[in-house]
Amino acid sequence: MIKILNKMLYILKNLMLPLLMITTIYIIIFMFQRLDKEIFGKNFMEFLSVIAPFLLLIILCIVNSFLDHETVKNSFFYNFTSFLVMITITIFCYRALMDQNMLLWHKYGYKINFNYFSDQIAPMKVMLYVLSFSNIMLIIEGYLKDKKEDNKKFNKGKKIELSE
Amino acid sequence: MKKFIREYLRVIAYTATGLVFVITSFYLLMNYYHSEEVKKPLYISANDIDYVEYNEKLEEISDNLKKYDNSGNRDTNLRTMYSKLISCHTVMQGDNTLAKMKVDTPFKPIDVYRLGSSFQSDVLNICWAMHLSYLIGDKAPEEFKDVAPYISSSVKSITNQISFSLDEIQNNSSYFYTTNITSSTIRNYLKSDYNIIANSYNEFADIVLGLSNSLVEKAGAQND
Repeated sequence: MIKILNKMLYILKNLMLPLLMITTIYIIIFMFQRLDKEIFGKNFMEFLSVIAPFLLLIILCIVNSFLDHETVKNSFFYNFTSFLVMITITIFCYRALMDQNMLLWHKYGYKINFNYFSDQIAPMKVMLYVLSFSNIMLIIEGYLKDKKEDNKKFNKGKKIELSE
Repeated sequence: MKKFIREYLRVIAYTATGLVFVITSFYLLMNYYHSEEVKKPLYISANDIDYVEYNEKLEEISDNLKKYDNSGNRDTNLRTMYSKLISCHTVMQGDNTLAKMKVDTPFKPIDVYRLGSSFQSDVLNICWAMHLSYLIGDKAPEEFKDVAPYISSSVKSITNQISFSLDEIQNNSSYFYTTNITSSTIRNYLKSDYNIIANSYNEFADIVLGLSNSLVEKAGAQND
């Protein structure tokens, strides 16, 4: 049961990540437009600083899928936390775009609550960077895993199965 | 040694993940709490609502305009004022204005905000700026020159009041109601902002009512 749930969380997390990056870029484009900032001009680094944690995590997701060992894929706690982070960022984006009860939504005429969203950028960065860090740690941990030990465990399991 | 490093890395990885778990849970719960808090309705009793008074004034204005129309007076200045007051009367009864509010209906912060912004965009921008502001200019008609300074100062104070209360209502977007006191303060502000906005509607209706009264008086005097 947990294995299925773990797999689901892993897939959902990987699907949500690029979608959330696109939504964030959409909001940031209008945010820059309102402040007369050019994205591909002198403010590119500022733009990149918001997008970088997403890109980093996407790269790590791709790396995970190509690796032999499955320390990240099998870690339920990591996948569950990543999924929670994705949900939280979805809520940030949803409220910035849709929550009309926060009255600053109406202020600038873009139908986006920029003040709210810019408040959320810092926690978003923290969560994504720390997730990337723990992902790297898990990858290294998997890399150091003793293959002989794994084989031993695997063979032991097979023997028990056969004897039964 | 390899095993030790591996265990150590795992501890670091799970500690970092745990940290993210705490942060994300915190933001998730706070967002839920805040979104529930900002849509809590505000109950305004029938005595507080001011809309009965406002509607009575609108009816009086309507009666005065009918009286003028029946008087058959064709003076250009009075006729101009009549057509401007007709437009104002229509605008003051528009959607999202105090005239459309209902007693015993829970108000959301967004309703109060719309009430204020429609006062700004319809009543002040259309009725005052487009139609009645000619009263304080050089081309003001002689008949209404005596009331012009009073109207001008009243409209200035109403404009300031409305801008102030609309800015204040936007406080509700300040992220997190960290304490119960913050929450109740923001809600108290909302209620006082509603009162300011409703009073502004009534003050402006008083101005238009005064003008319609003097329109009828002057038309009657000219006919006599």
